[in-house]
Amino acid sequence: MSIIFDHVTHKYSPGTTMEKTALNDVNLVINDGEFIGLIGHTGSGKSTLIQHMNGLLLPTSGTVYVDGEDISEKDYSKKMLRSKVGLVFQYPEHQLFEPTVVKDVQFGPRNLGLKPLEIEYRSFEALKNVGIGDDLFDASPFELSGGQKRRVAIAGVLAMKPKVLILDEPTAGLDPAGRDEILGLISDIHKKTGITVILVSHSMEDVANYVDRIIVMNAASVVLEGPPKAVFTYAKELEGIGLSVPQVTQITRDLANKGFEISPDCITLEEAGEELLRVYRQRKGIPG
Amino acid sequence: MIRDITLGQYYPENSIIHRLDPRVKIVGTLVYLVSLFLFKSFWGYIPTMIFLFSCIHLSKVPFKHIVKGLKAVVMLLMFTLICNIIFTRGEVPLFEWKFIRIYPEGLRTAGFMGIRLTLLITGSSLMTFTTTPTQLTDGLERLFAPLKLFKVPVHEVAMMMSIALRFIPVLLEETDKIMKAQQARGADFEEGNIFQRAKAMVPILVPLFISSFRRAGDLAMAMEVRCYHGGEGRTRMKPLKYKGRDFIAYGVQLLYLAALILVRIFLG
Amino acid sequence: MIRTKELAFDYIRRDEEGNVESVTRALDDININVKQGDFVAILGANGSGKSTLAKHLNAILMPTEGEVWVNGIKTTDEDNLLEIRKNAGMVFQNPDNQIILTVVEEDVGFGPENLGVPTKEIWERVEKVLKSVGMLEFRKDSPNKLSGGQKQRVAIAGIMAMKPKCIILDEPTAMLDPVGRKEVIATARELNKKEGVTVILITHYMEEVTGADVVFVMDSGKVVMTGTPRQIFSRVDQLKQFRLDVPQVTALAHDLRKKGVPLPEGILTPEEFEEAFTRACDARGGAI
Repeated sequence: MSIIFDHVTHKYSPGTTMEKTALNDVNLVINDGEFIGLIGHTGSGKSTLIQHMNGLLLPTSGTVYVDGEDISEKDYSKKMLRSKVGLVFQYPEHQLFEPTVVKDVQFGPRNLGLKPLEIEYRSFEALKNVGIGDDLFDASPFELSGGQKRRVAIAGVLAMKPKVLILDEPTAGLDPAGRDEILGLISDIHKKTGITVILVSHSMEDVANYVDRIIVMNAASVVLEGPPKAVFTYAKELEGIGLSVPQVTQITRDLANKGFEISPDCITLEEAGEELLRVYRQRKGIPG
Repeated sequence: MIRDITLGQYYPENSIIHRLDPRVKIVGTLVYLVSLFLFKSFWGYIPTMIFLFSCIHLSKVPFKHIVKGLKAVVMLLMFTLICNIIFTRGEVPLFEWKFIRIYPEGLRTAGFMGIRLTLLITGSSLMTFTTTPTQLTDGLERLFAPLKLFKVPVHEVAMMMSIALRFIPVLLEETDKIMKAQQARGADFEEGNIFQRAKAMVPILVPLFISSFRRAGDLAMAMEVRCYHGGEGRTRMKPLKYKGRDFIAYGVQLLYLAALILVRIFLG
Repeated sequence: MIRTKELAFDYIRRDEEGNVESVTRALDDININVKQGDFVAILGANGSGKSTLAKHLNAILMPTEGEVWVNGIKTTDEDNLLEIRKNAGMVFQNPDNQIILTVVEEDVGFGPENLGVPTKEIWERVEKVLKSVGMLEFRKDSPNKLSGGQKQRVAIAGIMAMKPKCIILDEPTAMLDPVGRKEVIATARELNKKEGVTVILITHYMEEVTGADVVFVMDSGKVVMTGTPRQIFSRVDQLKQFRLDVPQVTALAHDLRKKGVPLPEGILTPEEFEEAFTRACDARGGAI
């Protein structure tokens, strides 16, 4: 299932003094099964962009096609769209409301009008997929830790069995270990289920390890897109809009510029480590 | 979106009305509101409108902005008009259809009430357009200060009001986010009968309440950290002091009241 | 400036009748000493007790056991409560929940108003602190229009206007984007350097503590490591146990060192790394 943005522009409060263009002529194709990192600052338009994917917002001009259908069509079912494109917002506190974890996860499937048995099955499966054990099923979602809340919120959307899963800064406010756990979890879900995942983040380092493609937004437009390695070659341009490449990429590039025979575009810690070790051993004449 | 409501939100401008002491504006608004109920003939609207429109003109708040604010209460206005037209009884009906009878008296009352209500809302929103919430609460606190003698917690009430005003936009924005988060899970707030719709509010209200309680706790702590300990021993960054223009404004209010009383005596 | 002695704190949960349900030890035997003018960082994962500790430093919470002194005054001394809070100001995590009034400058004046500072001096202080946090041009604005980083700077100004000797920042950047995070940290550094204010920064973002004089690491209610950032970051594996991590470059150096590349521990910036790596490659003789 693909999502296509065709010359999409979105304006908030159009025609008033408060008018603000949040998306400016965006063209984008998101293919089935991709793992995408969407990067940009607060106010760059990434939040507006993802809300167009599940019809929470509609374009002021241009068209969004999901599965080949124009989502602005009058008789296009928003409910069906939202079951296909799941969106998890940044703060789980904004969606958790039922007295128990299980009930909260069932909210989505219930809204889809599924049979009770199916609802139960899906919610258990979703909770299992995010690593929430049976012992927490009947706990109150408000008493969970930050990381657990985040997992339950993700399960709440997964239980609708979406074909596309969008996560808006799922690691905000988590500590380093919590952050790695959630990112690892998302990557696992992508591998296991093969659904399209769009990960919204501020951090290049977070997404570099996992995604197939990075989309960079700035000032309401898509300014760069491509595989991480390709995007990171535009270090200057990224810095110009206040974003940075991972530290390891910076290091390998600088060393390559200084005459080391090193591949200049390492993007993960492991990759850079291997490259640097190889270069060091070569210089020292140590057999690898 | 709910955030677009303009009714009563401060409109920054540097005008004589903006600079007036909030107490003058509060008293002036009260005088004006009372004045609207002093007369029974359309004549009375001449001085009130002159007064209101001069104030609007002086305030430099664009007329368009004020009209936009009125849109929010159009439903209320229509409701009043229809009630007045239908339920006022006179002698000779102008129009009859089944049980509905419309009399000329009804149209007159509806017109009279409609103008009154519009002027009432415009007048009071002009005060909030030109006075910051802090000034407003400061003004109220000072005006009601004598009540402290009767152990009324005037300062505390004023502080609560000003915090409420500070957080209304924050809570509206939060409501918006929560609604979207639940819609993303297939929640539907538009379909179904009134009971189903009320039930559909639960997934919004629970997170909103929980976060509000949290906010309240955080805010109390933030106030304590900044040494807040009630009204005692507090100084003011912007103490209220009457200036020449404020006394002139009080004078204008008196003149206006006098003019209206004359209208009332001579034209009914 | 601030000193704790054998500080311990229990969170006590009670049921509806007021009987004790459970007791959780949130702080255990904390002995720290912060000197006037220091920039101190307290690191810890979520739930490590670092926020609970912060709340003891200006008498929001009272110790279950042990003592806390602020500027020579014991925090349990109720008559001096205002004096303690005036000397040790605190900025919290959520930028929306600590700005109390509707106009920036009025909010900054809130603290001095409570302290009974004369009107003229309030204006002078407000102007001065807004300038020092770089928010003077926004003085007449509504806080709702500001970005997260700007709101936090206003909150810092609000504390600074009380002329504290010490300012405690309790995860001030947890809800901000990278730009906002940099703004806030730079502001804190500058206040520390230029005005000589003691800063206690509580965070789980490692890159924010590199400039600190002293770092305390907390885990399950205890201070488990103390030292300079370089000393702390040398102990990569131990930090991982406490659910923390190190900047990517530090981890890279650590990994290479393990594999025999002679790099010093505790490298904090890409520049340092490149220099050390070049030196290691150019050095005579084989690997150590």
